[in-house]
Amino acid sequence: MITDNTGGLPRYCHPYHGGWDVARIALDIPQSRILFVCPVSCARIICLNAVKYGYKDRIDVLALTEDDIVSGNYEEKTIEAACEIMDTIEPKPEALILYVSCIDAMLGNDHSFQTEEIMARYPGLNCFVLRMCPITRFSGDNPMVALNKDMMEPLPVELMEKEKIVAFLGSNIAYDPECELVQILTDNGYRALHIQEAGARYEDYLKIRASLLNLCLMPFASSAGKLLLERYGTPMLPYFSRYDFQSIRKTISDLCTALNLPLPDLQQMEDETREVLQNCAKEIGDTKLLIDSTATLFPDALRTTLESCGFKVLSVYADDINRADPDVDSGSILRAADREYIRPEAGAISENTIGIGMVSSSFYGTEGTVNIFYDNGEWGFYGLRKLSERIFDAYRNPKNAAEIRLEQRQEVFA
Amino acid sequence: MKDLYRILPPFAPDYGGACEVMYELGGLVLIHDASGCTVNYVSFDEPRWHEKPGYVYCSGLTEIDAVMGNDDVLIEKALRAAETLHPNFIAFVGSSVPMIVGTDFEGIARETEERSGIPSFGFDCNGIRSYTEGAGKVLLELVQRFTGEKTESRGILLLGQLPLDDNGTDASARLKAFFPDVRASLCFDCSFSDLRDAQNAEKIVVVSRSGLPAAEYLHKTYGIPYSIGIPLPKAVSGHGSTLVIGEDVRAWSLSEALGNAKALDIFSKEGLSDFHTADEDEIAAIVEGFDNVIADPVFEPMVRGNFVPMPTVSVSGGIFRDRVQALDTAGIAALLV
Repeated sequence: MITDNTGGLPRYCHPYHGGWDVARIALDIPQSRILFVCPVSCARIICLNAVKYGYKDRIDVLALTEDDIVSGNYEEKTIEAACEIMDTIEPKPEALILYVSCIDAMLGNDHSFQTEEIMARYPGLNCFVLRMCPITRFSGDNPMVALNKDMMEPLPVELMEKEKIVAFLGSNIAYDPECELVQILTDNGYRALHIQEAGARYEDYLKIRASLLNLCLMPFASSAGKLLLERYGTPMLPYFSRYDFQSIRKTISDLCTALNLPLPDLQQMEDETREVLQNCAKEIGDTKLLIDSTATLFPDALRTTLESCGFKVLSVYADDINRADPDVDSGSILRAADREYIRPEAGAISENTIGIGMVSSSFYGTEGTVNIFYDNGEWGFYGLRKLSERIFDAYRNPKNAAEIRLEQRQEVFA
Repeated sequence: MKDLYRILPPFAPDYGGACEVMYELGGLVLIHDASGCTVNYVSFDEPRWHEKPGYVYCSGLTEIDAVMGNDDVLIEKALRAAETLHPNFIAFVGSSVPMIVGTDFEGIARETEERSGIPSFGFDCNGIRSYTEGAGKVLLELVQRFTGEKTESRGILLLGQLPLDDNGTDASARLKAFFPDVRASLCFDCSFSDLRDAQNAEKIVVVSRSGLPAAEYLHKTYGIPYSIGIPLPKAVSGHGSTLVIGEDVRAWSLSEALGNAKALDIFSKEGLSDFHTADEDEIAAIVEGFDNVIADPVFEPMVRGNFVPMPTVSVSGGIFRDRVQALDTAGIAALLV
């Protein structure tokens, strides 16, 4: 019996993940370091992303051999490796993450012995385990749901006095201070706390406990929000970056209600945003758009908005989420596995098309590409205006997926 | 500490090499994993993914299917996909979880072939061994299964060439340019008929260690002579001691062409090279004694002497641009001190 909701077909995997893997997300915990304990193959993509995006100096790998797995010897080796790392690096990390992979789920390991031993040897260090286990995605939490929650678990259980802080959960890209969400908060004396900010310290991570409100920016962060509610009594507000005007207005209204803030002129904000989008639609004329679910978790909402402003949307490509764009919530992300099997031939570029997201761009061979991943952390009216700029840029300066990929290759100098 | 990687990323694993061999041969390939291993392959180990269609998919292995040994799911998925794709063969490729639960890939392949009539293979890769080992095993089995009666003796057959050995999809043409009468190169820039006609080669050249098991088989079965190594032009240079790091046959070939050079093979335990290790501490100790080190850019932090970057997909996954091309002996020699 087929138990995985894939419709009984093998799964097509695309290589476009915006450079965001589980390690890069976990390293959003400031001043942390990762020790991967896994077969070499599991850590390869992690380390190559780290080289590509410049954080390899925060990742080490203990490569498991067949002998290690059979003998169970790697429990001791993990402690030895952690100690070698801690003894040889400066400055010392505040948190050491032991990252394990699918085989760990199969072996049923308990790592508390290792983390306790390591913390005993290095007082002040927070050592904990995170799991990269896509194999459990149908038998436990979705991996992204689990990761977001597991990143909050190591916070100390002691309560902190509440401050005028609103913490952002679930988005991997630091916010732009120009977006209306941040402006509403800062104009009213609140700190927008996002541990992805440049220069964030470990203390900022600990400060999440002091927030008055947590904003859940992506559906898969709601488990983390629930944990923080239970542990610190901090309410959570869904603030998903759905690209439809009604949802945007609702999220802003809900935020203002929750914090008892004056409501900004939403009609004016919507009118200004519509005008920007309509102008862009006129400029690009008959150019057709394709949207995929790596660009936004709500591709159908974006399609509706764009079409209402005069854009021509050819198709929506959804992978891993329901094509009908349901109300997505933690744990209920419906996984409609991709069932496409015919990929475009080499060099088959469709003229006058722009892919919003690298998957639609590569799959359909669009002439231009809006290279964003999960909204690029640009929400609401501000997000739509930024997207409009990106569409126009892709129209004026079209690059297909292969060109973007080649552009991203790094120069080597002897 | 042994097995601890502080600087280097892990290198391409066996399933990457296995899938690369089959990529252009019209087979349906299922990596038996949850998704991470397949994403690893398509993201960093297969540069052709962006240019040529290929039928490598993920089985979508789940925890419950792994625990229960529910292999029927895998077979069903392959059979359903085969109805659409009409592949030349079906191959199941292992990863780390199937290694833990002891999946019987040969049995799965046998049952798939019985039910579909399509030649089927099971390769017990585990994500721990090197890409050359995985590729070598697959190429050998394919050659054993698909070659037939020898009807002619013509041209050179290159064995073992893969995109992982170099740094781009144009690398195949550059390698072929070193040989006068190439009939085919398995398995890069090739077709299924090239595989079926492999027995008709007059001579075989093994251009990476991945090609050696198949070369030995073709020699034993059809009497085709083979040689190992790429005949690169000799460099004229008065350079100091030099170390080439990479795949065994290619590193050795370059070191021979440069002169005053040794080769360090990071993918196998034996071969033509002077050193064989993938251990970071051992590599660090070896590189210390050389004036020049030619290697993928990720090795640069380990090198105190003159470093010449030579990116390869098997190490850095195609994220670096070339400064000099891997087989350009003169260009590389010009950068030595």
